[in-house]
Amino acid sequence: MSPRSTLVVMLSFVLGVAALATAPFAAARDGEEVDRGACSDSSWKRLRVVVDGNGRLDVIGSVWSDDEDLWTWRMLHDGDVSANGEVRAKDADRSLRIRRSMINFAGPDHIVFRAMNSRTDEVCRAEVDF
Amino acid sequence: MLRSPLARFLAIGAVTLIVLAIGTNILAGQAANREALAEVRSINEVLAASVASPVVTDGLVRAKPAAVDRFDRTVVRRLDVDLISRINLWTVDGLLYSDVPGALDLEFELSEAQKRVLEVGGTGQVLTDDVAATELTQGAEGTVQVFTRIESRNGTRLLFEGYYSLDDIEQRRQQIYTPFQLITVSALLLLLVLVTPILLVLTRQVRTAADERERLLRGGLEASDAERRRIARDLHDGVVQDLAGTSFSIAAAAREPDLSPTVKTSLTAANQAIRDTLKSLRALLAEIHPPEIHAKGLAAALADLTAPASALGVQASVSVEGAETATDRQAALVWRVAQEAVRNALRHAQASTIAVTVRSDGTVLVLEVVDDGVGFASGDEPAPDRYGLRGMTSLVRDSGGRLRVDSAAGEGTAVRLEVAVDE
Repeated sequence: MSPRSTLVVMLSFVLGVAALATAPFAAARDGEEVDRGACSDSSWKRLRVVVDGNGRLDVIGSVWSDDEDLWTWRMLHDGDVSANGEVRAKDADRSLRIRRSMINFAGPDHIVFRAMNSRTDEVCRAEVDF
Repeated sequence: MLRSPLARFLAIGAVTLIVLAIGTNILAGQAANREALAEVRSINEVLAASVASPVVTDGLVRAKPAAVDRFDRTVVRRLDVDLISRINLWTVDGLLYSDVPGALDLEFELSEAQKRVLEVGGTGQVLTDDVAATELTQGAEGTVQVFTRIESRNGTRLLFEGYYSLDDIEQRRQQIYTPFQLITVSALLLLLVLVTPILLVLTRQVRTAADERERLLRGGLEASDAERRRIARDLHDGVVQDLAGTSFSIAAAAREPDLSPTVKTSLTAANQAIRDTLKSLRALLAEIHPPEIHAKGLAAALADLTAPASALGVQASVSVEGAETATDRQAALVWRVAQEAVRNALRHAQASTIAVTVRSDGTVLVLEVVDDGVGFASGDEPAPDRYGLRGMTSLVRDSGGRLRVDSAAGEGTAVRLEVAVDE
């Protein structure tokens, strides 16, 4: 292996490990889809979608922050706004939690949860295909 | 059976009450049914206008998932009531929204009734059990589908459909119907209760008046009977006795040996004439004041009845067999009928013979009066002044007997009475 090839392999390995370490990770159990990760150094987000007892999608978007700022949020269902609003993170853990039901259409449903800090413009975005 | 007018009224009133109660129940039930269904239609119209219509957006009409989500959340939250069990939203192209999981992944067609309402507007309904089962109606048995047309902001026609439980409608029907039923039955009962004492008073008045009338009538009859009795007694003790004495005297005189044959013949003829007159008088007495008839004396009484026949040139015969077991009342009935039949035969039949027979087999007493007179056609109405036949029929019917009159023009008349012999 030439020094050039060794450099390329090493660089690819390092970049791969870095990507895995920093990229938001998605995990799922049976019947649910979850997207979670960091929005910034101080905020984390999570989007969880499960099917409820009525056959609808139970969509829960959460943000954990270290402030009590006002957040504007919206949930998109296949690209259109299904629900939106404003909420202030004021629980003990300074989190906000939005829960809405959506119709479970045939085929994949693309669901996005987006929350933006009105003061800092920090954006938390999570999405799943269910 | 129910001789009392009051008892009859109460019985008729009770039957009428039951009939009216059943009739009004049926009508009230139908009215309540219509009213309950009309209420459900009204509810659906209100929900369609106030709940569904404001959240129908263009996105929803275009079946955008997010718009469907919004509609679902809004409708489910606002219509979280027990009354409505299922909600659908239709366009002319098919199902746009349903709260049945998975229903939006399937295709359904509008029924003719739905198409009609979608076209002309208004509200319609069908029983779920009356329509073909689909995935959409699964588990919705015993409901009624009510659909109302609404319009989106851009003018698209939609059908808001709710499924309503028939049990709830039945409950509502009962709520409407029960007070009405109570009012109806109570009013009828009250009427019966109010009218009963009035009728009781009126019945007493009518009965008192009838008793008074009967008392007067009986008094009149008794007076008439007494007068007839007096006339008959006077005739019997006077004229009849005198004629009998005269007859004996003439008979004795006719037996004198010194009389010439011519005189003897004249006396014998005079005596016979007197005897004939006596017979006629006795018959007249029997008619004016009928004798007390007993079974044992029935034959003699019938013979007296036919006594005038010989004077009219009519051959009369009387035969009585086995009538000993008859009661006095039955014997009197036989005598009365025979009297009328013989009288008719002598007056109208122009008969040459009259046969009166009475016989009994121990169970039925039979009287037959047969003549060979001119008879009458069965369809001929008797003259207005001839009430005898009708009177006889009435008398026999009241006594529990049966009277039959057979006659034909030119073939004589047969009157037959049958009366059961009392044990």
